[in-house]
Amino acid sequence: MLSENLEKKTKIKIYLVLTLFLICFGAIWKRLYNVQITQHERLLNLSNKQYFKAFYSTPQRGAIYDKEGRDLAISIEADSIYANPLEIENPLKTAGAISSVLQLDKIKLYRELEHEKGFVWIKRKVTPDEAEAVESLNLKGIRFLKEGRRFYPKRGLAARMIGFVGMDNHGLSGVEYFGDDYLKGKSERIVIEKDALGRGVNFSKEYGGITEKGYDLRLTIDEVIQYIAEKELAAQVTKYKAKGGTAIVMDPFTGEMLAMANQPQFNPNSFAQYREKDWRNQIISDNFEPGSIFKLILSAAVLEEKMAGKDDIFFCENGELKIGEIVIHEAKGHKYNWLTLKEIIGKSSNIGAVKLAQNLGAKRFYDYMLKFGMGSKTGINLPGESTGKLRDIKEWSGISLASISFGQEISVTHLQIVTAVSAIANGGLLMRPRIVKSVEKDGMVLEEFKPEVIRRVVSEKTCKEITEILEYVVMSGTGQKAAIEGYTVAGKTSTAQKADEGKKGYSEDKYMSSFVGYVPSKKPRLVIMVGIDEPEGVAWGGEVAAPVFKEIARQSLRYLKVPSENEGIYTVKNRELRAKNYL
Amino acid sequence: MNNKNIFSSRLISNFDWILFGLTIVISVIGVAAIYSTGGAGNGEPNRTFIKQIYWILLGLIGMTLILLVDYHLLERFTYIFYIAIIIIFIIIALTGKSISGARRWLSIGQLTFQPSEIAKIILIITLARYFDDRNIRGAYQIRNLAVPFIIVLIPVILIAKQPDLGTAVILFFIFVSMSFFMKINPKSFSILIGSFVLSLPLLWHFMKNYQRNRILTLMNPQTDPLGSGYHIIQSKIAIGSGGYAGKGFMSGTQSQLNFLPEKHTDFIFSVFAEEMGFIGATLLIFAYLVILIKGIDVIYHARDRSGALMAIGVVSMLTFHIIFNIGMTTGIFPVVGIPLPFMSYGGSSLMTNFMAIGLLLNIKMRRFKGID
Repeated sequence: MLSENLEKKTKIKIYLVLTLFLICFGAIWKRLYNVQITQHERLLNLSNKQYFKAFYSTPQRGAIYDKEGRDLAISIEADSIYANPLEIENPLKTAGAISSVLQLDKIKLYRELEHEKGFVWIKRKVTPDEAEAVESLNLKGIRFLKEGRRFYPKRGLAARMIGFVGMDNHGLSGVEYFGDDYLKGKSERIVIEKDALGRGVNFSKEYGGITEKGYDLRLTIDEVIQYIAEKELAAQVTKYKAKGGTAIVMDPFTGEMLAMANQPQFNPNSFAQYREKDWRNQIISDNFEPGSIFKLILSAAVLEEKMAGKDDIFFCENGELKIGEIVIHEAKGHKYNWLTLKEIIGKSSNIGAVKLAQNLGAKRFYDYMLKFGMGSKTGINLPGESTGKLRDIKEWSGISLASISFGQEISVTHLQIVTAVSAIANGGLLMRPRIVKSVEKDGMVLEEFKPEVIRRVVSEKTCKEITEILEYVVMSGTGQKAAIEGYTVAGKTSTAQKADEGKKGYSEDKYMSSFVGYVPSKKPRLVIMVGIDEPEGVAWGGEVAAPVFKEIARQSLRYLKVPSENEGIYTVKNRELRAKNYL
Repeated sequence: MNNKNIFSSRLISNFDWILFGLTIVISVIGVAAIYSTGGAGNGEPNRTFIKQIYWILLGLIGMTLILLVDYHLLERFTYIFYIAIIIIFIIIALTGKSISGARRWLSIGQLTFQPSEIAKIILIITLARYFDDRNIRGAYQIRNLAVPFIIVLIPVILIAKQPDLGTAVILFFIFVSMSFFMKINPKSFSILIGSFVLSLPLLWHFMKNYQRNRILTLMNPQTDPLGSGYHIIQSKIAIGSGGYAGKGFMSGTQSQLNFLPEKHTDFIFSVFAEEMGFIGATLLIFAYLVILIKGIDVIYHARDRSGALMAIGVVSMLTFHIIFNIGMTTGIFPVVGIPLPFMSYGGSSLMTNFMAIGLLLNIKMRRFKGID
């Protein structure tokens, strides 16, 4: 054997080489450790960056129910069609076949399919017929994906309040927008592998579509009451060829909105076909000058501050009051001399209101307006709420106090008025108006929204006095057409001239005719406000809006099985007897 | 010297099963890694790994043939092989098939073969024969090394011109290692080292632009991430993203999705390290180390000088391949086309390496004088 006669030097050389090997392998191993362990995170990030492309899945959106659990907005599964251009052998033929079935631009589609991207939407959320037609073409590289599609089974019902969603299932207005975080569900980040040329591979099995479903929202809206309000409002708007209108039904003790009706309606299933202004919820977004309804706030302040009792009398200047340059008249050319506070409200005397306001003083009046929530948002869970416009007392002119006393020079939203009147109806507590009752999942309540008192505005005693006055308004004042057989109604009319667009001052023929009231007056279940925007011909709130109030209230009370009051004195039969005493 | 006792039980009892077994294990791992790279769907059926299996079987036949013939017989005919391979190189230079701009391939019918691979074995045996014939008393002077240097230089120049810098460098290193075991005059040794260092700028001068770029980008790969640096960056990303345990068989996204170029040949180690992680890569390196230590054992126990010299040649050849290849994939060395023995796809390389192992086994089996 060579080893026996190997020279010592050669042996040393062999060991030297062995050592060298071990050093080299050690160096490589150390390098490997450095790359695979020390730099692992950095290199993994680099690696992920270059072959992953993120997508977001479309989870099924939660449903919106009315307070009894009836569907207002639901999600149904719809097919979305997409293509993997890599698998398409003949882009021109494929584009031709698909574009004829789905009525798409053939050239545009062809270009997209030609251009080798990993993923091309053909058409999202198609109808079952369209999906079937494309499927029957049996084209290579054309695939289907289930996506949630929003469907509003009641179509226009409460549409402006509920809102709608866009193509990517995000709420764009109304409850859909405000409750988006609850409704949208958990959209999972789906990654698609890309190869070195940036082409998507393996996405079909990765892109799973619908993932974790969103939460359901139960609203305070009652579908039946909503329907009644919509129907009655629509009938009156049509009858008076009005521009539009609103009707609100609120539970004064809980602040729950039972109905929010807007006219004209729009169909949220095809929202894109309507003008943008038709999507707006006028109840919370539109400002209007409240007119005579505002006398209610004024009188509440006067009574609360004990500046006058309801039977104290005021001189009403025989229908003409000059303040500075301005002469104030009564509506319909009435000329009153002495009226009680009750009569001032009942007959809706403007001059009387000015007298009351002067009696109360600007500062106190202003404070009560703030207390009733004028000039600030009610805080309802809906987007796009307006604060109205209440000018700071420092900016008031010499006639501001007089103007505001009968509801001019101030603008409010319908919701602010309903909320303020609810405070009077429930005995003096300003409640936060609510639209969402609870958040649910699979029928389980996850979160419940409780009634919320904002503040006490006036005492119960004042409320009782106001209610008495408002009952009088309906029994023998301007609001007689709001009276309902078997129930006592308290309410107030308003016929507000609309500020002329473009011109300064008020329009001669454009009115917002409204009525706000509650029933049964002693223990109110419903506060209802009706506003008819620009009715043609007769414009008086008592003529146009009050009958709508009556119908909504009558039908809703029957639906809610509210027992009628059988004390004869408040029934309609006896109303005339009683009313005569006042005349 | 004759081979009438080739089947004697003594020969078989001296067969190194561990060396042979590890070779087979690594080859099978290589097939699996190649299968994994072909897994990503570009539509084509994955044939590469099947071809590799055929090559392994052919390699085993080649190995057996080398085993059966006493290495002294190979030594006797080596000059004929040497002249033959030089002629082949010249033919290639004139007519060879060009793949990726390089004329390295010889086409014989359907088969393409890379003669520069087999040249390594021929050169090892030729050098062993030369050094064995001229057993000079005392130390080698520089002039004594002139002839073996020319023996190496001719194929090195022809291969470098193909151009196949990697193989040329390896041939040169084989020569250096084998000379190292000769007794060399210390003064001559220093002159050799000195002149090698001085010749580096000259080597740089003769390099092609892309070869220079590869060395430059090694220093800083990010200067040209999509050009010359691309290979190194992608390879490092693949290996590094594997981490401790790796991404799992067939799950190495980096290699599956074609980010890694030459993934089934020169960068097969990156694929393996990405999918099997640091643990797998460590085990693989350890297996290679065991093969090399087994090789050193053959040198140590070889019966005669020529056997020891051949074993030195084979061990140094395998070592340079392994160290250069893994060094390249991890970014220590510039990108030169050097395959990883038994792992990389490629028939010529597999054939050569199996024959090299056959030579080692051959030398080890015949280490006892009594066999003759």
